[in-house]
Amino acid sequence: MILVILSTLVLAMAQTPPSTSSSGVNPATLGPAVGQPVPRFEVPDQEGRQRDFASVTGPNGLVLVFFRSADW
Amino acid sequence: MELESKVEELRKRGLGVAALSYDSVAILRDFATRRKITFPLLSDSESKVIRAFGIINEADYPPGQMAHGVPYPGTFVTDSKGIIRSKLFEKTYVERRTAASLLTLAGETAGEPSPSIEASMPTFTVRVSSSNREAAPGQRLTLVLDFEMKLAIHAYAPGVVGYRPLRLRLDPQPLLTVHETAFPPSRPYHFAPLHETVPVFEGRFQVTQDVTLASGRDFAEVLKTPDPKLDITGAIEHQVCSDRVCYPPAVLTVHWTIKVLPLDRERAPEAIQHKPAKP
Repeated sequence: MILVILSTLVLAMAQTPPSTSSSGVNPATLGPAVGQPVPRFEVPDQEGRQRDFASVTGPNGLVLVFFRSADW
Repeated sequence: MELESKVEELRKRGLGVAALSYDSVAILRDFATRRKITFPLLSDSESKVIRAFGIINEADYPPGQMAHGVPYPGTFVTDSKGIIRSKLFEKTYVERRTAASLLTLAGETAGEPSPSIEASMPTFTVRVSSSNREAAPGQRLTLVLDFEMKLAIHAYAPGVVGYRPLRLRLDPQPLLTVHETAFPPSRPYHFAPLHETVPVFEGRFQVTQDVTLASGRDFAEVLKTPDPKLDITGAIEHQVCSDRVCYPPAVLTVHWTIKVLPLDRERAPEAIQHKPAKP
């Protein structure tokens, strides 16, 4: 349910005028497309433990947030 | 991170939560401790994952800058096999959709929604609420209108000709960017006497309106007041009819009050901060 409606939301956003960052990138086209797999990753978490997709996903999937920085 | 307060709700729905940045493990550990974050913060200190996803922002932060290596901020939602089901990227860093807003748009009640106000009319009721009762400058939140039309009553949907379509009109407000109003799918209604088919809303339906608060600089004066808040006012323009009676177009005023939170400007301890690039 959450996924279906989030998808609807993305569609709704796609219908609004194209939004671009200061550099002219269209955020809607950033990263792998819906329906594609996420790239493999293995990086340490805040405790230094190595984490990959399988170790952070839940039984129904993963909400993966990319943020700028925890420092500045 | 506002996300922390929503993690439990996402977990209940079987979703894992992780957040990735180009910060070192030390910075993330400090941040997690300070902010009591329990979900995994992933350290991509060489921006390898950010590159693999193709979302490194080198246009705004070219090599040589302290911020080189940061991603365009955004969120991917996957299924359990890692297939992307949706993704959300915001226009600028400061414009972040709140986690509560995500949940609201996903049809969930998130945390402490604003107390709702209900207006009852002879033909319908509307409950007015929002994803967040408080928000920080730059955040994007969702205003919510839950309609319930009385039996056999319909409201006209956008695109209708000859009737007043349902519309939420927010009063212009320098501290607020108003996004497109999101309507549910309408239903074609055939009115035999006039041989016309028009788009309508019936029964229960929800209309949402995203708004983004202006930057911290714009809110400086408001944040100096003892009770920083933002009043959002507007009106619902509508026309409702049944198969027998058509009411004239009408306007219902609505308002929301959002408590404005100060921006978090606290940095990691100096020893582990990102250093400006050496010339």
